[in-house]
Amino acid sequence: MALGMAFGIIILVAKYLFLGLIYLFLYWAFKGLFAQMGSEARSAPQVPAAAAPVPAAQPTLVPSPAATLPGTVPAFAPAPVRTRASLLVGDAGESSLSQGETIELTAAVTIGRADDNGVVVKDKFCSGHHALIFLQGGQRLLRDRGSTNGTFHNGQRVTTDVALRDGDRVGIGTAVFEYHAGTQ
Amino acid sequence: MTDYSPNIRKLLAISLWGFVLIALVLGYWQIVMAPALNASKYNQRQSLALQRIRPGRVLTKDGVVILAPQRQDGQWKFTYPAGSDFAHLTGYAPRTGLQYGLREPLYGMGQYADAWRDLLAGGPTGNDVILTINSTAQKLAEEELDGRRGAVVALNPRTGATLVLASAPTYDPAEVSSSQEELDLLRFDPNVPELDRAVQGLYPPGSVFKIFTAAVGLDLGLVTPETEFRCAGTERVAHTRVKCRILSGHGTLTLDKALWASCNIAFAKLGDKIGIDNFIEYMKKFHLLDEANVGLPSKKGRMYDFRGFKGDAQLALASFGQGATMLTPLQVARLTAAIANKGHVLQPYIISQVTTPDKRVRMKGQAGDFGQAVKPETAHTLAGMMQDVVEKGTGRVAAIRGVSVAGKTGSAENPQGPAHGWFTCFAPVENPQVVVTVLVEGGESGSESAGPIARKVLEELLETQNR
Amino acid sequence: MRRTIISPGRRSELSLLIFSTFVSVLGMALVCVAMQQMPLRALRVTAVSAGFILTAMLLQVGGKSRDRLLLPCASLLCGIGIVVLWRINPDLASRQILWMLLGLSAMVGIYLLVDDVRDLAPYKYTAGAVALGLLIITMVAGRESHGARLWLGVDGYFMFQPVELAKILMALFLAGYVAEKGDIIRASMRPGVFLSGFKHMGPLLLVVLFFLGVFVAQRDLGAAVLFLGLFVAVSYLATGRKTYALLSLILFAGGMVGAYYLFGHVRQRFDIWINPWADPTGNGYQILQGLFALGSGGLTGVGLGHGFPGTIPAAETDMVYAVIGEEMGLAGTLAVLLLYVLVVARSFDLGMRARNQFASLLATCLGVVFALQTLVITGGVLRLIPLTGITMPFISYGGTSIVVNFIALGLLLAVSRDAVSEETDPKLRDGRTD
Repeated sequence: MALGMAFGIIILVAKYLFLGLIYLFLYWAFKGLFAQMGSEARSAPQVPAAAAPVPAAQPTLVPSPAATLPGTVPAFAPAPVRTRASLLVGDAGESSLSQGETIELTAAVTIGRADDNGVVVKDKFCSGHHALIFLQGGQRLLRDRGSTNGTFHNGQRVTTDVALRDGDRVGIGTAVFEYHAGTQ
Repeated sequence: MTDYSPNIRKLLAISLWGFVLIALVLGYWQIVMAPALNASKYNQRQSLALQRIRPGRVLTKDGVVILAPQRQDGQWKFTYPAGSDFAHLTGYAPRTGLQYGLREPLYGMGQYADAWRDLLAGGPTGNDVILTINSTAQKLAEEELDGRRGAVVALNPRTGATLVLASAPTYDPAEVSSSQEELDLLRFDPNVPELDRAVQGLYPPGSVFKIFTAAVGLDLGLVTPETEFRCAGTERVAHTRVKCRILSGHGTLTLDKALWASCNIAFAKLGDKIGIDNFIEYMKKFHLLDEANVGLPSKKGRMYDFRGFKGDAQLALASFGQGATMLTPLQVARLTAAIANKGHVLQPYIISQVTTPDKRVRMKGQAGDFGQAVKPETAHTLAGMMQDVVEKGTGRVAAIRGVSVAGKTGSAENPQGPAHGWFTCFAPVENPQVVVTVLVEGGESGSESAGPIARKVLEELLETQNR
Repeated sequence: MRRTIISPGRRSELSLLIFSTFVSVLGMALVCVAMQQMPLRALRVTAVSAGFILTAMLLQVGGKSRDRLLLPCASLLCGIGIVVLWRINPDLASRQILWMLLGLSAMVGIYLLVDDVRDLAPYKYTAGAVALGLLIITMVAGRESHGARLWLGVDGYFMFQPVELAKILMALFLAGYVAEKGDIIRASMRPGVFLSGFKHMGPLLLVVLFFLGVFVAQRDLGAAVLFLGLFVAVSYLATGRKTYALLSLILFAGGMVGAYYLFGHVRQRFDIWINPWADPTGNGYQILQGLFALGSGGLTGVGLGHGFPGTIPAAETDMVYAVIGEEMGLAGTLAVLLLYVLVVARSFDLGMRARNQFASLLATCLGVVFALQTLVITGGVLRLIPLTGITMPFISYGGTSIVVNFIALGLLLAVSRDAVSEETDPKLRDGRTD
């Protein structure tokens, strides 16, 4: 009986709830839209490529989702293109990497031959879990993960965590990377 | 390689402006213009919305249901369980009769809207309306009028309650509302059954109007019941020829006799004595020409503009209810009730009570107060004179054994045909409970046509004593 | 390890799809309560939502990243569409659900079969020819109704409206043409010369004018406006100048004036638009009832199921926006408008992000089509422009319209597959999950 009395109120609430939920949906959707459209405004105008998949000097791919950390707000689109810290493949050596390839760095990137690494480098001289580049206190540090042939920083073998600066060279296996600090 | 991005961006901007425009126009129509749109006469939504609401019922004072809600094809409609006797009260379609006039309480709208209750119930709900009407008397009145054209109005003079509001010819609202054929028959019937003659029929009052003239004369102290007048059958009064019913004239007669014998010349002379200004003032005091307020469309009375051309002549004619005077039966009844009510004029009402679905009384009706038109002594004196009409004069037909009845007959000359028959009365004189006014179109003699009807209705009402 | 983590982009898409399911069910419940019937088949609205979720998963085949916004928006539009349609006529709604499921299948098919949108580019002339052919056949041999032949097919078996399909084919054709000749056209643009580039734009203009003629003859003014708008947009893109746009607009206006005097039905449409109150119970009835419905709705509407769609002719097709306006109020109409804005904005965005010219133009053209459809029909209902027979994407009742719009969506998703780099922003946020 009490339910019957409150019936009208329930319906009224449901009516506004219905509208409200639609607007909540719109809020999230627009947020997602602006997130990536905002980045579109900031990025260099894309030259529609007729042929080559990855033209050089372009902000490009993050190699694998392992670098992705879970737990983010809804994002519906391609990664916002920013000038992040990155590794440029200066010399691919005998590895599976391509020369000139740019790898964006997240808060923590693992490098090695095994498939569960952030950056997978197929190289005879590269260990399964070779190295780690991570963000700490606003600085990016390079750490060797107990590799067989060692990780090199500007020619020096790495024993402890080493801070990276713009332009530094990182050697792993037969490949050499250039570290670019970016705006982050 | 051309990069289309900049132009695409411009196209996007243009599209967005298009959407902004749409949004603005939406706001225009849905908010700004909404009141105007909702009020448009081509917008049926108001009446369609009513079909979704369960209305209340309409009942007479003694509990007879005359309008009952019924669901049909998902819509709410009214049925008419009480039949043709109440047709003019109920109406036959959503915009007719009391189902329109009482729509606010019946549908819980307007001042009867109860937002909280509607919310809890999930939608607007209707209220029951109990009328002041007495169903047995109403049925009797319609029965008596059967075969003729006319009206019967009965009031309670002390409270202003409307006890009977009958009009003939009548029709069967159930049939009319369900069949297009019947509706057409109704509309094209030359007798105009749809017309509620009680409140919309304008007729010359004839001799029944003499009670007004007498009241004014008495109240002004210009005359007493013993004041004498001369009647020669045909005389020139105020530049106009006045003829009496008796061609040879009544001779010398008192005002009292002039009333019960219904002498036109005496009253014409009285009217002349009263004068235009006084006459008009008392018309206002009695609210003589005012429309009725019973939830049905009603007409205003008509009276010649005495301040105009040949006003005095017209005044003489109006003094005995002819000339350009036109009143509805309810207006005559209201006038009579004022006399019965010691000179205090009440605007009759028809709603006794409005009750909510959970049996709470939402409103109790009462009469409008039009004030004191004449002194109580005047009314008392006039009542005595009207009693003489029934005991000694033309109103004998209305006499009831054991009850003192006061009344007045009327035979109103009708330029379009036979005279209309009037009878207005109240009883008992010492403590009036009921006022009855009867009009019979083309009835010729008021006492013969209207009188018997009035007596029967009066008897019925006095017996039931239902107030 | 990482393969089992659903990336945030997919998660947000999924949560939005589930969210829109919930909203649709709520809306359906409101309608059923108001109509005082709770048939179990009302739950069929969940079939659509389930279809969308299933589609989202199917589209993951191949693992490539793609747009995450279009599906949820379409899902909510479809949900609202079914709810409103159910209120108008449950049988129509049930059929619409089937069309939507068919459309979803078509969309999945397109997405999976068309590996690279550029594969379609060579078929541009075919597309254009087919469009024209279909329209002509319909004009000659189609089923007649209200003095126009708009339907093609066999009664009782299969019926569709070629003009809807022609929209997509036209978009393909124009995108392909400009993609191929775009650079040449741009190069041939001489500043100051009025009709520079006419060698290439000219044929296009003629083709479009021809189509326009067909439409006007068919009393399909809406399609005429749509095609014109598409051409205007494309010519602007191709030439970078407004010349052809203005030229075609002037020619069209001229044609309209001529049509006004020549064709009675055109005159009628315009007269009602100028003053519907001149004939409130006859020709002006439809637009007036639509306006009354909008006014009746006010800010939040009279509530689902409490309006009077029965008084509005074509409530389930052209005037469905007015029904939304009455029952969901300004809040509802704006919300639906915003959903369309999202779709259009996203289409244009994909156009800007696409990796090749054809994809870019195709996405833009499809965006223009969506935008024009929405603007023209809402403009008509709102009496900004004369009312036309355009459908509201995903909401108006109409099998062909639904399926074709889903195909368009499929093409857009295919474009997005190449356009996007990778999903989501991998930056660590405050640990918020959906």
